[in-house]
Amino acid sequence: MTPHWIRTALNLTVLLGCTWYEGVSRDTLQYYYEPRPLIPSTSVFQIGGSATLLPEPVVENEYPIPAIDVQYKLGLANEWSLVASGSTNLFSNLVHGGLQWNRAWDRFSLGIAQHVGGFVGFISAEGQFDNSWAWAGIGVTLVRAGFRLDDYALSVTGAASYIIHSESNVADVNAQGPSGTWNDLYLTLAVEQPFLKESLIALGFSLTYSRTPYQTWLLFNTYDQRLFVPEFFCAIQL
Amino acid sequence: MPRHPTILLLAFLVGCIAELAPVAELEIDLDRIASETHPLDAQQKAFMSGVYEVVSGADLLGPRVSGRWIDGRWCLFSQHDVVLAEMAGGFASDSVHLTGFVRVVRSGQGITVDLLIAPRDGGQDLANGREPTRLTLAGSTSSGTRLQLRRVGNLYQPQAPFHVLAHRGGGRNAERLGMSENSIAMVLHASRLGATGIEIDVKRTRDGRIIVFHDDTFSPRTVSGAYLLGRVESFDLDQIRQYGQLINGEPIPTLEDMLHAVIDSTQLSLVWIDVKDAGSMESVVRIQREALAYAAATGHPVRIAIGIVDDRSRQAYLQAVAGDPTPTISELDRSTTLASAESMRCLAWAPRWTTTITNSDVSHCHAAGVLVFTWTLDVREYIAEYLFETPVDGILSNYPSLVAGMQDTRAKP
Repeated sequence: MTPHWIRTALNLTVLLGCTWYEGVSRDTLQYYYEPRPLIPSTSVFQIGGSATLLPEPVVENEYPIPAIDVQYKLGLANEWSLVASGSTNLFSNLVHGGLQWNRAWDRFSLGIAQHVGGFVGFISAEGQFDNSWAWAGIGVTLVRAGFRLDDYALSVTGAASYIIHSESNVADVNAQGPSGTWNDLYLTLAVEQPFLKESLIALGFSLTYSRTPYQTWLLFNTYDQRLFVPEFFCAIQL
Repeated sequence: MPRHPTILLLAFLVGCIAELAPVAELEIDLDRIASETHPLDAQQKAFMSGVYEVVSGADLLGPRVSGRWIDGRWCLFSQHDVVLAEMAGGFASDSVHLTGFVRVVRSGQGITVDLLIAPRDGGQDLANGREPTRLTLAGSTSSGTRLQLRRVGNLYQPQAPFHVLAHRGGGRNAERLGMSENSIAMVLHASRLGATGIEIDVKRTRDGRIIVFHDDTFSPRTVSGAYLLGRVESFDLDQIRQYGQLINGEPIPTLEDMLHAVIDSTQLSLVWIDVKDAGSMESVVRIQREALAYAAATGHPVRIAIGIVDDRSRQAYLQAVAGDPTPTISELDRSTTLASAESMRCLAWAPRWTTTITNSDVSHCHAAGVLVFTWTLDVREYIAEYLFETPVDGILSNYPSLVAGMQDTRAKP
């Protein structure tokens, strides 16, 4: 089960934040996950955290793995936007970005994006790991759908990531990891809403169906089987 | 629409956990199959042992496999992937009939297989007690893959024994063969996975008994039983046995029971006891001494060594043995290990595989009469490093069949 403190912390965050909310004009609200076209030359920047429950068969004990996440979206002309996303917990780092096409029909919105990016991880711990690292080049295809209700935005994102090439190194020894293969399927549900005076908040959940969750690279997972990886996230839009 | 949809969303989504999907067991009664044929004698089995070129079926088995009779089963180990085959059978007239399964261990996929050594392919020579001039096994799998294996050489024989050590009594095979990790059933099967030795984990119960178990807590990952949840040291042994069992239904063994099973019913040559709690060292040493005495009395020269994982563990061990050391395997740094080799009666230095082990390290240890093992190594490229480039004396792996296949065939990735 998800640790009780995570649920409590998330619920309290939302309740307190909404209490302090002083109101933002609906017309000016632009969110990251909701694929409504941005006003050209305006941008959205989010910073937040996530907790990922890695699959028990890989990690043996179900610890939430924390990460700091940043997201950026810049409005371009003609319903296009530039999107970038990053996540790090020092040992495991994931960055990807690309172009996203967006369109809105009243309350509904739709976005399609193609990202490229990479993963890199490094660890050196005396007596345990000598200069161990891994990297991967990836492509990510995303489809987002949004629904605006008053000043809330609900969105769902489906995504698939493809590992172009991956490798690991321990000291001087190299091994090729999964390459030329679809690695993850994501389904992300997000709620975005005003929060704390003029800030906005995004809360959500992502369920990944993954062969090799990138956070597990230092376990040198050899399971050739896809497993579910739940993740909870919370981000403040600045 | 509720004012705070985020709360509803979270309430709906919390509690999701990931579990490994169960794998359907292959329902093959190998004992029945064995009983329906005439068994091969030791010489005939030795003639069959060797390296086989995979003429057909290389997509499944790779270009070469090693084949050996182990505990009455014909076992194939691939160097290509974590693929193993276990078959039963024997003579029917001048042919050798073998039936069993092939498993891709990493994914849990399994298929049944039938193989035949026809009279002209070596069956007649084997039946007559002669070494076949040619030996070919041919057949197919239940998925329709045609198999043809041609014997091309002998198994690699290292100058000194090489130890293929099965993690937790059998490694990840434990979750795929219907046998639980650290169970007696798994340990009795470990040889057929290519293992020559095992690593097991021990914990202390509330009443001071030593059980073979890995985790700090009983959880649905390892045990079944609605009332057996929580920290191991919160339960007496009787309660543990009354309230639950290992995930595949076996009783949770005591260390004494496990060691007696190894001595009485296996050909394993080494047991590495990973002591999770330094406070239990005194009891573990006592059980180790009794088991070593029992092994000596029965004539089974199994080596039983206690894993020394840190300085606290070392201090507890030295106090427990009181100047009369028992065999150990040291995970301490090399210099500490060699300096303590005599006082700890150190059988092997065993650093984690992700640390750098050099040929110089190995030479220093050998000069001191200490072997070098590394743990827990599952990736083929890295296994190759420690088999061929910096050869160590043993590898602890979740995939003993892969290590055995690579060692038998000396095949580099």
